[in-house]
Amino acid sequence: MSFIVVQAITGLASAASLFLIAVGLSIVFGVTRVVNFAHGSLYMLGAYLAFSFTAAFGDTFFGYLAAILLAAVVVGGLGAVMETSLLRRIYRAPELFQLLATFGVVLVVQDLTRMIWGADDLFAPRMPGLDGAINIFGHAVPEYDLFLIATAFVVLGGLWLLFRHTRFGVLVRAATEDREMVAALGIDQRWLFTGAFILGAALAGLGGALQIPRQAASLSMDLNIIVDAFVVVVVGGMGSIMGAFVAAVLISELLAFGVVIFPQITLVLIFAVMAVTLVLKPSGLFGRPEFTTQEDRRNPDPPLRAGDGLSRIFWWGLLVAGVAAPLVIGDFAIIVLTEIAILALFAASLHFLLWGGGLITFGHAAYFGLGAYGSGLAVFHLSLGMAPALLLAPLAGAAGALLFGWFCVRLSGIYMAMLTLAFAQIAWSAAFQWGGFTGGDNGILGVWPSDWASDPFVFYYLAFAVCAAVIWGLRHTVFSPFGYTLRATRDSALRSAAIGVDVTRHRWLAFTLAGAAAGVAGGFFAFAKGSVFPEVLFVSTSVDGLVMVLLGGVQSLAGPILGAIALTEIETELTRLTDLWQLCLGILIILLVVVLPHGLAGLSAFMRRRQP
Amino acid sequence: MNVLTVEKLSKAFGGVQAVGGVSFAVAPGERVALIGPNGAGKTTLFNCINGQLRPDDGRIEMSGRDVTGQAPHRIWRHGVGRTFQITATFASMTVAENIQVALASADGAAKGLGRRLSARYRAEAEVLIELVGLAARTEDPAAELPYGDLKRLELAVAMTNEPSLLLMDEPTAGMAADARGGMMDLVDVMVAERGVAVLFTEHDMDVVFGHADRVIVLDRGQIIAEGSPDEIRGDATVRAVYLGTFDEATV
Amino acid sequence: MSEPALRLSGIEAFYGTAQALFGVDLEVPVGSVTVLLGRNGAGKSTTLKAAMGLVDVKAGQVFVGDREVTGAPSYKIARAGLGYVPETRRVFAGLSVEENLVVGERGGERAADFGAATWTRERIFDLFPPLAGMRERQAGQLSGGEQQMLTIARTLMGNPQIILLDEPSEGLAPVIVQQIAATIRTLAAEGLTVLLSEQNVRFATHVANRAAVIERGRILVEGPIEDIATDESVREAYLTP
Repeated sequence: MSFIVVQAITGLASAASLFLIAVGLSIVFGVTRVVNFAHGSLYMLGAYLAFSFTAAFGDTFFGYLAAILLAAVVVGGLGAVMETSLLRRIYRAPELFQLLATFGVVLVVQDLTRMIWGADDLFAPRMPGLDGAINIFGHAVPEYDLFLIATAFVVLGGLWLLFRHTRFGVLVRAATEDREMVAALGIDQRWLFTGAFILGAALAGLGGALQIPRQAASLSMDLNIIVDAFVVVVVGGMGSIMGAFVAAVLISELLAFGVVIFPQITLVLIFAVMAVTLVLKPSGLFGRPEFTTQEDRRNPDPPLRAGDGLSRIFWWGLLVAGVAAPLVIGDFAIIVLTEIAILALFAASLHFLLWGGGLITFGHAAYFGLGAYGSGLAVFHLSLGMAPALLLAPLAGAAGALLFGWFCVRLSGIYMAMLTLAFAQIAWSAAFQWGGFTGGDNGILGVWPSDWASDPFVFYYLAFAVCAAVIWGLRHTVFSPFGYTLRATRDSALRSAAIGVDVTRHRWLAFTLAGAAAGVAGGFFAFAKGSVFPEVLFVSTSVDGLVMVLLGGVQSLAGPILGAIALTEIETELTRLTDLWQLCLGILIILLVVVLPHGLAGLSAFMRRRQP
Repeated sequence: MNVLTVEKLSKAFGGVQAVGGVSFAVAPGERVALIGPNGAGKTTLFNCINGQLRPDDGRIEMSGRDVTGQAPHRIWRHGVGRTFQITATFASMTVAENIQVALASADGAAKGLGRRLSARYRAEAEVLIELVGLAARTEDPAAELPYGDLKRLELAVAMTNEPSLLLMDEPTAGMAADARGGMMDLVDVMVAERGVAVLFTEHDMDVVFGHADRVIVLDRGQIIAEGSPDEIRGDATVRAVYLGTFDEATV
Repeated sequence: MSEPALRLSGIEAFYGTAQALFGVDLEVPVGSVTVLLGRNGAGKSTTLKAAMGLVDVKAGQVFVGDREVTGAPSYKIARAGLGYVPETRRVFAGLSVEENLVVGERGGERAADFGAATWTRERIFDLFPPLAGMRERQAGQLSGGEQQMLTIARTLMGNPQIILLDEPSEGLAPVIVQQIAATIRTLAAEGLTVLLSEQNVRFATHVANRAAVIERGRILVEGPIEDIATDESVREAYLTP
């Protein structure tokens, strides 16, 4: 009995910070309909700022408290800058672009934080006056945990007061219900959006600042917390404060008890909670169904034009270049070229879903990574050779896509993007935590090609041939009845159902097919690197894929390939020139979304428009 | 046998009875208009029949088979073509491709990975395109068609599975007045040449009285009148519903 | 003759590519109660939404007094003096009655400019006594008639010069319809200009002094309500099935 109480308190303490960040994300989404990926960065900044402030004047209880609050206020101010300078430009953009642009901010903030505070984890002192433990049923419970729980309730109460008893709060709630009607009543929404964003940012900053006595400020805080927050808002319902609270408590308690009862499968528990919630109530426990976003078809793609002169020249040219390039380049370049071929396939499989089916996935790394792990584990545990191990890669990718996809294709728009990301992160955590099987952090080493393919040139030709064939297959699929029907479900799900297409099932099949293709790329990636690390499953891999697709241009079949070439080249060059690679990539992404949404392939059209 | 039989159909939303025990039938080749004031339950009834909504009670049969509560993509298999109040077409495809996709689905080939779609069902597509008068626009993207042509394209798509029943939700909404007659004449051609029956909702009374064999009037979820256009035009109850029930004595 | 309170000229409005209005011309004189008559789907609601900037207007102009507001965001049109009461009421269901009024509130400074009455919560509750007893109740729990009162009240809180009412009698019990009629006459007596859309001709004759008939997205006739509502040929042609 006593144990249960103590464990419940531990769970509540974790729920406190999760609630603070999730509720901010939810408030911002409710009003602006933007899912702010950089919300985790604001949380991280809160922690780093609090670290500096406590170092300056945190040696008393009130000094420490002031440091935490000041950090929250400063982060709120940074939120105002971010809203007015970036978000205002992308409120009307498709969800994918909004997610990507805010992810660009994540990268920028990462490098800036590293510049200012350094790469090492920073440990703050405990909070004066709350650095002890109190005895509850014979167990020592940190006083600070109780303080955290109390703070969460104070914030919940404060939000309740704000939303019930101030004009601003009432307007935010009204706008969450019906933005158009709020405007028709004469309210200028711009300041409402800014205000909601400042509030959300300050809450994230507070959540981060409150963490520093419990955990070190580190550069991985941002992405770790944002994924948990996504899970919380998906389960609780976007835009609902109560939903964020209940889901944060539910998930934290599940983890607190899960760790004790089934330490190996806490991830499965989260997965199960999410799956059950979404099947029973797709809009979350407290969410409203109308939040599912509608398809934006105001600027439809032009019809497909197969094999006109120019595109034939492009594809043949690409093939010839791929075959001929090794004859003229050196040993390092062949490794880069191999990587380009593999990543081009990865990007093409993502493009197939995004453009071919309008399926917004933010977690495509899952299937790439499962392919890599499928091959790697086959070599490591089963001592299979390269060829059979490579055959397992698409199966692993397809199996993951089959399982995750069943849930994902039932949602649309931003919910789908968040769920795909959450699944990918669960796969990443599983690879990370399940050390006995996957090697955890140390990865799987010694995944080398068979002797006959050990020469980099031979391996390149093998990878090139297979990747080119699969890309060709994907391209062919786009033109086949299956591909057209998939495009039909993207253009109009209503019409597709009216001509007898089982939309959900068709999307599921496409998802699985793309998963298999990404798996092939992952398998080759494992052998190209000779190792597999959890990073292949990480969100940054998914984002790399999205950037390649956007860089090349979404509305073109050649886009992902051009994008893979461009991004790999840019990355190779930049890492040589500067340490601030992420900063540059982040700025590139933001510019791409704001200035050049049609990518390199759309550049010419953009230039033409600009001319008088 | 009737192509559509609706028996005692009911549907409520949060305690509000949108449709309360409606029964009617549509015979092969018959053109039936469903009219009534806003909020009468037309859309709810329509969406129950086309599978968008699951009725709380009652039964829907198509050509003798029970289809109650089936999803829209299954309803299509029973020989039902649909058009929407605001057209739903595939904007990124040409006129021909819009029809080819539907023909592939009708042929059970929607999951095919083989030959390019653009080379398949071409002849059948051209017949339908000709029939709705879009031959000159065969290769134009649907996104670039004027609204009247989109309505025609939608009709052609709805005809791809050789339906026995067309469900048309406001077939002339959003069209200029002078184009409406032409659209409905086209529907009449489908009825005459292909023997399809039509159930449609409509606000334009010229269209209703000019192109329906039978009119069903719905008010507050109930059928309040049913008959030939002439009978409905003279019906006192129907006039009252449309003119309102404001009681002068109590003002 | 002074400027009309609201003037639409040549409005063409679209939902996506579907055209709903084909060149609507309409004048609403200051102080009038003008009713827009027409059948379902004729373009009544779209006309009001076009005035309010809530649909895609591709051609034509909208003037509030002598000020052109064509293409302005709807919050600016609202601030120019237009109040909008939507057809489906659209109360903020999760907010209390009082909070719904708070959203509509915009202080009294503007009203003074136009000499119209300044609405306060107290005056609103005088006008709609039933609402006074349910200030704390969630708007989503109100009956249809109470929601209709609330949405009118909410709009009045912004002290508009002109109020647009989209089918205010629709779906309401006869006794509530009479209350709404009385309310509209009170508003007119307070000096507000009213433009309402209606299918219910009898209701219209009891509240309006001017009428315009819309059919297939065009205004067909316009004039004093007595002439139009009693004109058998108009009634026969456009207002009955």
